[in-house]
Amino acid sequence: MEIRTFDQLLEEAKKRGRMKLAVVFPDEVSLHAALLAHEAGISAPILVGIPVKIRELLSQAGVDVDSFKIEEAGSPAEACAVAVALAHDDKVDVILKGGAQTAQLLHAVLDKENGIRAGKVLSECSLYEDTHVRHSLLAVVDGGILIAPTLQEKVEAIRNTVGVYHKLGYENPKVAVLAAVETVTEKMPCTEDAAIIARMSERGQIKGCVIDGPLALDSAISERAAAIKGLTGPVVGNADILIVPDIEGGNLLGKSMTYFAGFTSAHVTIGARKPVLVPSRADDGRTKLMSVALGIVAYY
Amino acid sequence: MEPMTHLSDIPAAVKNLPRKRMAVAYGEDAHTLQAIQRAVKEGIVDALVVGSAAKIAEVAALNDVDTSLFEIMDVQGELPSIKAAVKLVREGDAHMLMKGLAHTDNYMRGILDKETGLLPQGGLLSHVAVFEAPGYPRLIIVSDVAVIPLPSLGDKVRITKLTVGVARSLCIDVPKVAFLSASESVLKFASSQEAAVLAGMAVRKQFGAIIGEGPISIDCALFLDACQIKGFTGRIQGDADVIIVPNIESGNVFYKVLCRFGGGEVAAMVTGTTAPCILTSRGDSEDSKFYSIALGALNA
Repeated sequence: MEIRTFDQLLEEAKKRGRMKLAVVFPDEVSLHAALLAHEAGISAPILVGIPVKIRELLSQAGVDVDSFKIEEAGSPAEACAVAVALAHDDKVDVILKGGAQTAQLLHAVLDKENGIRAGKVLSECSLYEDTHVRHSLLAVVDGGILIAPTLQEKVEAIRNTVGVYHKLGYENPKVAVLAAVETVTEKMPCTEDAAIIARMSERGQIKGCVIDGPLALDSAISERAAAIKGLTGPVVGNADILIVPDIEGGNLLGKSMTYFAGFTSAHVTIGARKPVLVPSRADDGRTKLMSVALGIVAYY
Repeated sequence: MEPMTHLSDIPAAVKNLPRKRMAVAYGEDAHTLQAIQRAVKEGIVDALVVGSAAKIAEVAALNDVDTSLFEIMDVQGELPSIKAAVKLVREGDAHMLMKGLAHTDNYMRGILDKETGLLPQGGLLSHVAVFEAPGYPRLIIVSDVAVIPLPSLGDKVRITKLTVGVARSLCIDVPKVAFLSASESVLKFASSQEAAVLAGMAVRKQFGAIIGEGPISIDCALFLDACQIKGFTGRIQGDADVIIVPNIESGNVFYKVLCRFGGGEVAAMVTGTTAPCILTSRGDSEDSKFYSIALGALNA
């Protein structure tokens, strides 16, 4: 079954049982996410940081200070190393960033000896729940990690995301490589990348999905717009995954959906051996919970 | 009309069109005069030969060429003859141009001259060769094997448009255009990626009604059994009409190997100019010169 709502995503995550969730140097935001995931029955938090401070946060949150396992780490950097080492030894299933810098955490994740790299490019998969128009999930890649992805990085990010969609029950997800237009022009290099990626898909060089590009956003998600423009094919009007040209495009598109359309989102960094969650302070509770659920379903 | 499949179809078609007038630049050699004689006798063109009247009469007498078949404009010297012939075409007194004894460099310089030449402002000068190979069921239209050494992607876009125009003149209404590289997979080198981009443009109908495919290797472009063996299921299945080569070296090798080993015959002309310009070389067979004149007349 294709997962088409966040409620279904959460139900799917629950089937995996409680997964071990390491919170890296907990702060209010990350602790909130961990507590929500715990309440929902999908995670068993392991709090990595300074025990005294963690107990203080727990008591402020009205939680029994001895409810959760605590792993001692004196600084954010140490917490990154401890959490990643636990993941490296399969003692942790999901990593959730707290009061550490994102770069610091990713650095630990990618550490050649003690990290959890899988030889792949790291990319962010942001999932949006469209409850008004298409009543489906829509992925935007990459609005968080890859700043100005090269052709090869875009291909790797597609492969990462397609893997997530397979876990979500989509046999052959539809991928739109976005640009501002459908035509291919040297003046807009992202249209050239999109054309190349679409040919690679035709050649079977990117498997498990169907890809079209370049496509403007409307052609990718609106059958009406695609029909008016005379575009045909399985992807146009029905895309599951939107590949944006750069981080600005992904960020603007994602936040527009959150703030203008009111779509709930979930975010996970993929490409390492374990899912890595980097919550934003502005995320609401549902986004925090669904991000954990997404991380679990994407990997387990 | 049925698509033309043999070079002999070209003069056959031209005979039914209003007679075109050809200006011959520095037509003082036997090869040129013999080619003109044949073309005029067979009703393909009228000719106006520019050069020394005395010299033309002398060469004609030595080679059994009947000078009453064409007009002569008496001009002394190579460069003035080229200039005068180009001017005839530029001013509409002739429909097409042919090179005589003139050096190719000087001839091209005459065509390219910004003030007095035949290239539209901002235009691209290119070249098209139409091949017939013994036993092969269709004509093979190839560009650019002679003029642009290392075309940029933008040049290839324009070469494709020019070549598709020539294909249409041969009654191939929806030409199949192969963007050539060394393999069907999209690989990291420029010719492969550019072919993918060009195929993407074709998919988006940026070349009008054509069927484009690339990257594709020459065997899959021209032979169905190669596609079957390789399991290649693209839009072209050994039935390409047009081959856009990645660079002049590969095109030139294709040209010469086909003619020398394969017993191929060729018609060729310069494209991108305001009127067709024939650029035969001394090495071309008499038939080849004749077909080139016919190809020019068809496109004049």
